[in-house]
Amino acid sequence: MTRWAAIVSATLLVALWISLVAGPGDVSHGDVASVLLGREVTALQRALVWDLRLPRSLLAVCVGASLGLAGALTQGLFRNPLAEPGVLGVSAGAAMAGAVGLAIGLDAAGPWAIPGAACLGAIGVLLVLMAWARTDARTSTLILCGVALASVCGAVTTLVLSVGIERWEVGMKVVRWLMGSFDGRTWPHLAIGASALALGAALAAWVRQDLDALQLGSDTAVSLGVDLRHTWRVGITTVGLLAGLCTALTGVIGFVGLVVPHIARAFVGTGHARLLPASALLGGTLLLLVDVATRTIAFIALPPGVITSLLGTPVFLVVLARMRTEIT
Amino acid sequence: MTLAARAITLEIGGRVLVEGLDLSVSPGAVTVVVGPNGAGKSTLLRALCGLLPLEHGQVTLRGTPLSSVAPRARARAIAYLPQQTPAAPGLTVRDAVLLGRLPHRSRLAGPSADDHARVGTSLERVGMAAFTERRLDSLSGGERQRVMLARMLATEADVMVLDEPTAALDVRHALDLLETLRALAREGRAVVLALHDLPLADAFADQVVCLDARGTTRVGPPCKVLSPDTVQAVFGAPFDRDDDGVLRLQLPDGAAVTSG
Repeated sequence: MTRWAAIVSATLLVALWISLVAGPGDVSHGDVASVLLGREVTALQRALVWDLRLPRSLLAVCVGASLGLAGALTQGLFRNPLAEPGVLGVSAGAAMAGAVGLAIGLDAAGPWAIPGAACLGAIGVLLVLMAWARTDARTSTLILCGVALASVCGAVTTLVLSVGIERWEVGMKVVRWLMGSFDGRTWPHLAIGASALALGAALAAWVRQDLDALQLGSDTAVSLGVDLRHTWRVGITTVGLLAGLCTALTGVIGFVGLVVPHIARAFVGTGHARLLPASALLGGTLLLLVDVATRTIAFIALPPGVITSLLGTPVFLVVLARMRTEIT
Repeated sequence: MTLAARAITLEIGGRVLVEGLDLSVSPGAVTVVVGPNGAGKSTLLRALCGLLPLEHGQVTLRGTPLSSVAPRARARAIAYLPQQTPAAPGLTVRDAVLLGRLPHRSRLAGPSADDHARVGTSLERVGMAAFTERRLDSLSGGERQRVMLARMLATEADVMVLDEPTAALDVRHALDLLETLRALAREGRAVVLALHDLPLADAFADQVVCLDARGTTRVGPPCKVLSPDTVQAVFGAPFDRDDDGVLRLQLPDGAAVTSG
């Protein structure tokens, strides 16, 4: 674990440094160091590094860490290796709630209104899934339920968009919201993302022992002193908070929550005391690498969710193929 | 007595499984629950562990209603092994047994040196110390069951409740497990388990709880509860006892089977 964490942390720091240097504008390694150390630099260099790139990169780390954490939590809660906010329609629920909020002008109520609506949308989907999983916890049923919920959420979002076509400004707001991006994200966005991650990490730490016990089934977990209702309440709220705010900040970013815990589990085992922080660390590193790659390689500004879906879908299918014998 | 049920009635979907059962489970004794499929053995065991809310009657732990005992305190007193444990891919034997120490830790604390020591002694007790670093999903059914027993031992509970722990085991492993359970009872624990095999239940039980399909329960020593007449009435199978009092299944050709 220690060596693995050191390698991932080092990768994160290198990627963070590259993210501050790479991109348009005349910024050298020395300039970045000067900005970070508070030395004399030009206003443009300071603006590029301190006001634009640093908060954007740190936000990518926060969102990736949140999604990794949310994925590990969801898989632990549902005791299902394919459970993930994106796959289960939780992110779609957040996107739908945000889109509806924008369409009815909820954004005028304050900066927290749309992120709050997104969290409620995510929690709503999770509650339906939870009710379903209580009666039938099979993997296939859960995934199909997630697909159905994502479909419903997608239909409502499309409905909002079709109405939005008549009202150009609203339509554009909704489209921008759905696509998501790290572009233009600055310190206030980072403050929201970091707060969500800190709160989510604290809540996840609170239920980590319960998730460990759940590996042996819910009856055994209860016999070990786990209060399942409490665990579900805290877990669902945490995943809803993380997935909802991530969607609000950067749009729907799928598969990070699915892929990252699988990789982390291979290195640190199944115990959540290690798995949760490892998933957060790896998720943050992965999404920052995706952001650096899209900024330096892509010719157009790609929403991060596009890249993670392109990379994540094959991994999802590989996991699905490995599980083929278990799924009923 | 450690655990007691007073006039409990258990129903599922309007069907009465157990009606007005009184049962006392004492330290040092092995109590075996028998009954045909669907008679309510698992439901009764779950009720005794406090995993099932009771509408009629109550279960007490050292005189205190189980429903008012805090979950972790209850977990320290009663260890439970369900009929089936999920595969838990990737979970190691050490981590599985460490889960038995959860009721002894605060929410944010990691395992202590004492917890690790208990895991070691528990695995040694069931003869699985050499498997500590193995993955649970790489073990045979018998090995897994012994690891689960070590997990129960690690909780240091006075009451151990096991739902058909020998169901997936061959005769040798089943006997080993039952011998271990009887030894644990003799050390002062109360052991309650469900069994399908009537001769084994007859041989290992100090007390038998026999459920039938109509909600009637019989409680007492095996020689009384598992009389050939009762067994015939409850299970619809012909049993008799030989000259030594050993319970045997009578086959149609006149042969007798003592365990299977």
